[in-house]
Amino acid sequence: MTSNSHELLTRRKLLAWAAVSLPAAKLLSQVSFAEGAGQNAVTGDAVLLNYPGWIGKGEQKGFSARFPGAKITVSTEVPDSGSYAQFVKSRPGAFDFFLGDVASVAQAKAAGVFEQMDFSKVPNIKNIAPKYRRDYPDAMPNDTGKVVIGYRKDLVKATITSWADFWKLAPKLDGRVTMLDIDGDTIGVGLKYLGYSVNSTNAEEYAKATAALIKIKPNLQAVTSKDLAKKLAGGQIAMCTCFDYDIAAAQGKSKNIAWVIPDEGTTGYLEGFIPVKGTKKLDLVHQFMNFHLEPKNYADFINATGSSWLMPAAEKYIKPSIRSSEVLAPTARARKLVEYGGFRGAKGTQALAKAWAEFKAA
Amino acid sequence: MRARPLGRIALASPTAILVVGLVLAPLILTFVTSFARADIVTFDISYAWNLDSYRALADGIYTKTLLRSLALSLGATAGAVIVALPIAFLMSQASPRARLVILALVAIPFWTSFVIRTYAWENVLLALGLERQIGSVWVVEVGMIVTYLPFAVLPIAASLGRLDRSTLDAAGDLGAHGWRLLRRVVLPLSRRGIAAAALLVGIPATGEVIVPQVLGGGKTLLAGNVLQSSFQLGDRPLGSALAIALMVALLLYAGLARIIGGRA
Repeated sequence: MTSNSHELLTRRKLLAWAAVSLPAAKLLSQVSFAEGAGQNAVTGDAVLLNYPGWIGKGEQKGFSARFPGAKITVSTEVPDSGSYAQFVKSRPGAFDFFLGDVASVAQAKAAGVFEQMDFSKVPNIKNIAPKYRRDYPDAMPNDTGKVVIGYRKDLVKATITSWADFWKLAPKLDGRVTMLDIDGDTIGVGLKYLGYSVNSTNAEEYAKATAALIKIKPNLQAVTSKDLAKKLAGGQIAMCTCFDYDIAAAQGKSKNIAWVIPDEGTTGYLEGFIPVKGTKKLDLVHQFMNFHLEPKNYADFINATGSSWLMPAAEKYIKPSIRSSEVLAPTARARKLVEYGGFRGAKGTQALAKAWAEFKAA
Repeated sequence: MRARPLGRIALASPTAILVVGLVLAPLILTFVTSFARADIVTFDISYAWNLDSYRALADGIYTKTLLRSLALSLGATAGAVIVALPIAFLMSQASPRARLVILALVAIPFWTSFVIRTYAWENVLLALGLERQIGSVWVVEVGMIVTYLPFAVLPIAASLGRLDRSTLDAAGDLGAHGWRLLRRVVLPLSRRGIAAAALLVGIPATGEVIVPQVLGGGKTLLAGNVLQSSFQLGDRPLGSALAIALMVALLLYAGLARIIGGRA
């Protein structure tokens, strides 16, 4: 009897035990509580959908070193234009959290891919300046930026203060002008040039903005968001619409770089990390967010990207060249003239998509 | 000995499963999706049969892009064939060692990725001080010709390789030299290779994405770019309708190539 039951244990029961315990062990290896990594430290691997290089140089390693068994994998398979929320929705289970702006949070909610985060598990959220938390209340705000006119002082012999100047100069600088390859930002520039809101929902305003953009399209060298700092510093382009961090990077390479926030106002973004609905790694995502929001780690991110920052406590760790950059500073003029791209609703989103298709196809 | 019907089915089934799973099923899905409707806010697709996406294709924006793609593709095919013909003829008439050298020169660019080759051309233009030309249609056209050139050289060379030297000598003895030799002898005998080259260059060139993005500076939009953008924006029905329209255009194109090649 004993020997029989022992035999059964070694064959059938062992197989049954393995069938149950192996997946359980795998699950535990993904999300478990590691000893020695602090109280309630979570381990496992979470995937962040992010721009290429948009993370601190030592962040991933530092996170894994602090929390052995915890890992953040960054996927940079991001679309050039369009919605990240759509991209996340089209790949169920592929991502645990993603970088997205104010509009993305609303789109993620509408598309059913938004997971409510538990701010009590991210105590370092207190380090983010309150105004940014107010503007980005549902997820973790991370960075901000704005579209400016960048130009070469030595190649552009004119004073630029407005989008009207940009439109006037484009034919004169034929073939040496670029505009961003991002739907909301470039159509937003067209809208601002005509005095409209970047978050307009009026199809007629979009049509007018598109017509204005198509008018200068033949003078553009490219519709691109890539290597703008390098091209501006190298003189391959004389004038462009670009992000503030492109200017900061170009100024580090050339003394001939000038920039302006146009008088009519401009479009900007406030973006952060958004957890994906149904992620099984939410605790790990919270843990990473909290780690990321430690001033030193946050400064590592800013030092790597040269972006505008949201955390006053991190300033002492930020490189002086970035900290002192005028284009990145949240000046009163910037606060007055920058309008964040937000959610435009069905009508506005449709109008934006049509405008972008028309501009690109023209 | 003839295989039994069941045995034949068993032998063919792995291939059949692959063809159905990897070719037919996605094609059917694309066709069905082209009649669906996308919600641009929730990104949900509702499969209520409608022609919205095909109606949108008839819009000036997309017809212009489709026609531009077809025109550039035809230009790239013609250009690649014209440049490839003398290279292929040279290969067919060269000594085995020289043929190997020419073949290596044609094939070596293939060892590098298509994207890197295209960026390399951008750098060539920059080095030549032609940065202002980046973004123009002709740069995209030339870019397509040079990146697809090997696809044209190899089938034409293979076709001309079978050309007997004595045929050329006989044509010469009968008074066919230069242009007449090319028109009356070489071209008819390489027609099948030209048709194959036209297919190998024309089909990928019509759906080209990288060249217009890099050398066209994201300005000269082709059907491939619109297709990509439609999927990125969450409008899968429009992207699918465009894919079907492109496929129909390419089938017509392939039919034309078959007519040209079939007479040889």
